[in-house]
Amino acid sequence: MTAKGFWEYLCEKLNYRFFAGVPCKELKPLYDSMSTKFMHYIPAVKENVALGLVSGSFLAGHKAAVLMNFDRLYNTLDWIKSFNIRYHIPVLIIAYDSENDEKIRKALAAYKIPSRIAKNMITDLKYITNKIEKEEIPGVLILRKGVLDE
Amino acid sequence: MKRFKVIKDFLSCLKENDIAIFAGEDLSKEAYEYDREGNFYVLDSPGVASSIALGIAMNTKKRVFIFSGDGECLMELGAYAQAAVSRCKNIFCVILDNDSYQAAGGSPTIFRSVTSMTGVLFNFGFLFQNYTKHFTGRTPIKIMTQKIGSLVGPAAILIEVDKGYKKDLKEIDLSKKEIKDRIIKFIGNEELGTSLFVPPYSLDHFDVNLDGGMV
Repeated sequence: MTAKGFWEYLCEKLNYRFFAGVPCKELKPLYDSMSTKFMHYIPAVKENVALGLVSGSFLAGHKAAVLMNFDRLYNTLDWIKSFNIRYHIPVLIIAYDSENDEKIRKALAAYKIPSRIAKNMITDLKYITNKIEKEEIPGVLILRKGVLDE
Repeated sequence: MKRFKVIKDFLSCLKENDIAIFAGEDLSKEAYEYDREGNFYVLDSPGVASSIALGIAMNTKKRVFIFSGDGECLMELGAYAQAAVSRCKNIFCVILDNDSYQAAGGSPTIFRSVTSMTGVLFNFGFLFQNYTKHFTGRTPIKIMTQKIGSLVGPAAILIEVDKGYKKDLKEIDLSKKEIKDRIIKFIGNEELGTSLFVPPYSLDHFDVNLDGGMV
């Protein structure tokens, strides 16, 4: 799947329209293929600010997702636990894992935050979005090298 | 002036459809004494309430007031910068400055030591208002209601309050899920509409200006 196709599927089929994130070099193809026609993207100053923005968007009735580097996800776990999990606020976190970081995946499991490594993008996107919406919890879609076509 | 008195008076100046978000447990408990459907309490996630408020403001036409302490403001200055540059006309950051980290035992903050916090917030892009004298000088609530009703964001409102908080506050007897469900219902209630002040000259551009707040 191309980065453009990823956005089209997430925005038009799954109805996610509001995004916030902190730049990540590996996520550049996604940033480059964003379209203002069907989505709003807010460049946030910090990961927890991005998380707050999309949580606010959810409270206002719009599905929303955060983009960030997988390493930085570790720093936001406290906020995810103390706000999104306790208040049952589902947000999709799209994170790029360049180093196959088991430490963060273990931390996610410990906090009972569902995560899915994207292999078949459509199937995995459907799985993680269904899970977070049904269970009202945040979830992480983990992207790795090669999952998006050049 | 006592913080809970300021909260009580400020809430009485808000309109039925305004959203009020409170950062921190003590502040939330004080506000819960004057609970209303449009109140949302962020109990234990320091530093995220202002971003949540901005996320709501970007996705609704209702006015959003975020009440936080000076310590919270300092910790999340980046979020305040984000709110200021958003150009959202419906975001209002109310900073209740008691010169201390109240929830952490009252240790002093550096808020009042900054050469010009007014300058910092103004240069971020906020319309800056200091309402300390209005709330301590007993400006009639009717006048304050008019003043607050005609504000256009993004605005930062500073009110200096006394240290300490009200004793014997009752616990918030809503679960966090109930607090969430209530605010979703409140925001989604379109019958309430918006009380956003629109100067007559910009009526034609009302929707455009609001959407223009998005980056």
